[in-house]
Amino acid sequence: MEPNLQAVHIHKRFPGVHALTDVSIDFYPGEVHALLGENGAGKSTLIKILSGVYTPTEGTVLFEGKEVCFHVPGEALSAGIAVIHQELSIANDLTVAENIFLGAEPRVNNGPFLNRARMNADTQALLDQMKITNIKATDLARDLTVAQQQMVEIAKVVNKRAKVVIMDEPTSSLSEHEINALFEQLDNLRRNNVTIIYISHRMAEIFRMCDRATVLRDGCKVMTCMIKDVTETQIVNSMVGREVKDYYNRRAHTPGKEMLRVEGLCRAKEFRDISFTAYEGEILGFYGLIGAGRTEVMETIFGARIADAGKVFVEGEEVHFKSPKDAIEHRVGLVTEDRRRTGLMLQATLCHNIVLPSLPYHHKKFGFLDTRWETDIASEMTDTLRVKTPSIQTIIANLSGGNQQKVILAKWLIANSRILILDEPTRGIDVNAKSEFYALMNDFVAQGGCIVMVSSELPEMLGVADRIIVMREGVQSGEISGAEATEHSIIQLASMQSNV
Amino acid sequence: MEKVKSFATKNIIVIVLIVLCLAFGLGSKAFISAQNIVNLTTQMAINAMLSAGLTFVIILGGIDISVGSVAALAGVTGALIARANPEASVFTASLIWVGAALVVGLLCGAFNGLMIAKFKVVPMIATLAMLNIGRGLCFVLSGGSSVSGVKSAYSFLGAARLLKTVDKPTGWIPIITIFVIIVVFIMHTLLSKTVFGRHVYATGSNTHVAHLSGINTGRTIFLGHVICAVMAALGGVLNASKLQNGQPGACDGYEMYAIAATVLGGTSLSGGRGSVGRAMIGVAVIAVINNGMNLMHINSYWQKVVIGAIILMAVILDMAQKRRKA
Repeated sequence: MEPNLQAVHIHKRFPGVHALTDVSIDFYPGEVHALLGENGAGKSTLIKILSGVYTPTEGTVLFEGKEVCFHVPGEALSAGIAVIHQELSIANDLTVAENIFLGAEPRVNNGPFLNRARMNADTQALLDQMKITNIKATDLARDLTVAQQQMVEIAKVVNKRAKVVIMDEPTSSLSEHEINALFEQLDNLRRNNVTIIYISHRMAEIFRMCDRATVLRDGCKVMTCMIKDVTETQIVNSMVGREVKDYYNRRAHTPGKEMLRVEGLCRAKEFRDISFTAYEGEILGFYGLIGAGRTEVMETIFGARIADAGKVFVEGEEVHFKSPKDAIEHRVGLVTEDRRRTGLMLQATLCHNIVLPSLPYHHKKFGFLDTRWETDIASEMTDTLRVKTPSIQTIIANLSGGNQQKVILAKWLIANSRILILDEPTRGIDVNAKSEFYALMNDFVAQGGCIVMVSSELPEMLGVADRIIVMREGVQSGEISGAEATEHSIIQLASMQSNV
Repeated sequence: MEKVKSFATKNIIVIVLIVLCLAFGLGSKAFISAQNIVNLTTQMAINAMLSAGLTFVIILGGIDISVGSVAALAGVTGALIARANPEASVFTASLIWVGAALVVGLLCGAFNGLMIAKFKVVPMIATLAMLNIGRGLCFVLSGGSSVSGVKSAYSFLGAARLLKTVDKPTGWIPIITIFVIIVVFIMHTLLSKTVFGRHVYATGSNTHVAHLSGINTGRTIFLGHVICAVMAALGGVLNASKLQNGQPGACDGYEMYAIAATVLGGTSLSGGRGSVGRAMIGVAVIAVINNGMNLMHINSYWQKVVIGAIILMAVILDMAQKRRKA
């Protein structure tokens, strides 16, 4: 059989970054091909080249044996290459039928008028054929669950008769039941000789669903193999480039006294009955699907949101944080999940960012800034944490994601935090930066700090956390010790549903 | 050469100012004279006060279009008090002007700040309301006509000059210029060298981050608007002092020149960047254009067109430079 999509010696360079180096992959019709790699490995860049968002700096893309050059994504789509992103491209205010036929609406006599009856009928027929029973053609997209919206996106690509479907982290918001329904659809596509490129971090799913896998690391292809010929450990090792246990910089921790205790924390419509304790010297993990409510819990503990009920104790004493300022005064720090939106002042310098919460504690008389102290502490921290930057006066937007994240960590170390809440701390940073970050986290708890880490990456959770608390739809569904935790047991706790 | 080019792109408006001065200097002999330069400073005075205060608000990511009305209101209020106290000495008179400005500025600024920081009214709308309320109050308080009968002691701040010489018996150094330089310097120091100033930049750069870093963003925004209104009010009393009366229609449209000066100086309307010093460059550019065109007898109607064009050019160059960096 001939491959229908080929990347041939693809290079992609951006100013200062060689994102892809000599990547060549063949994709065959009717296969589910896993694309693996850490954040920053080059998966998104490769996908964008295959789907027409970027053009390669060097190398070619062959589709059905012919060289293709897409200048806009629309061209790739017309050719038959479709992408279903992690953030779904659904128009919330349109119906299911309108979404599926977006850009290809059936017209009355090919005139300007929309043939709504035909559109709805065709959509319903398609849904029936795909055996999707819980969605109607006339449903409003906004009223659907994430899983249902994903079905709509798949129906859209089936309707377009796509020959290649690229799916980016399709199961990150799905329950186990919904994942099964998704895999049934993928089987149908496979039977129709559609090529599926499947991007995911979930080993269990990859081993269940995929035929072959390609691993990227630091912009290069490390291996392509048949799934049945490899083990999970081999794949993870090739993703990180070294033995996994060194990667996570795992060290033994002996938990000490109680640092943070939460009792019965509730916030209407967001979470309820959250109770846990975190100790000095440990990393407590919080796992859950998107929408489970972890970020909301953490922001409430930090004082950025106000709880409706419940108590919080820091080092044994009850606290009532009315704003982040109170939390900071009690030596709690929060590293948010979206550093560009809520973690950094992008237009400001590294120095200004790193000292921001500490200014009220280090200034001269009458409120004048102590710029000497600022530059001294910024330089010291930048050295200690090995932040790669031309200078401390560099605009922070110009640093890489990994270095930006280190700056944010340094910010809280300067503010003397003893309890650090980290929300998705290694999202969007490359393999080496991640490993360094894990080492810094371990240093912090070794010196008596306490970390509460929210993460959606299972390998990271399993590799780093001493204990794992799982949240599901706003409540705690269970707690597992790091030693006993398995990928399966955690996913089960995160996605068991009482009804669909 | 690289360094010169880099300096040039970051300071386009300084180059523009130099070019304009050269052009007008060649176009009119009177432009470069010492007398004209002194006059320029008095022409810049009111806008400098308004623009310096507005810089705080714009760096915070907001806007205040009521500064012209607040200035007029302060002038009218001060003039009414002045009229009622004809026996005041120069010192007392000046104190009355400043006092009136502080009260009017505080009240108006607090109103704006409350609407914007607490009730989350869009800044453009909240200050639009203040613009109308302030202007209306001017006419209410003054009864519709100019508040005159202000004794000459009250003209010290706005019109008096020091250093009388034979050449110029009225004096060389205007008090208004000294006053403005001192106040603007204080504002510049407040913004660039204090913790509060750093909080202003942080709140304007990213309100979420500022809040999560322990900054009371609501209070910072409130204080920013108070500062802006107080500066506008001070500008208004300087104007009333200069004219020795309080006109209800004074400073009409001054908000536009103040915003133009701030933006020309390099303060981005989206917030997070800028400085008082750079706003003063913008003030200088506008004053030079008006002054130079007058001296060259160019139709004054064209002045607004020219200023509009220069603002557009400065903003486009600024955006292009940002895009190149990104």
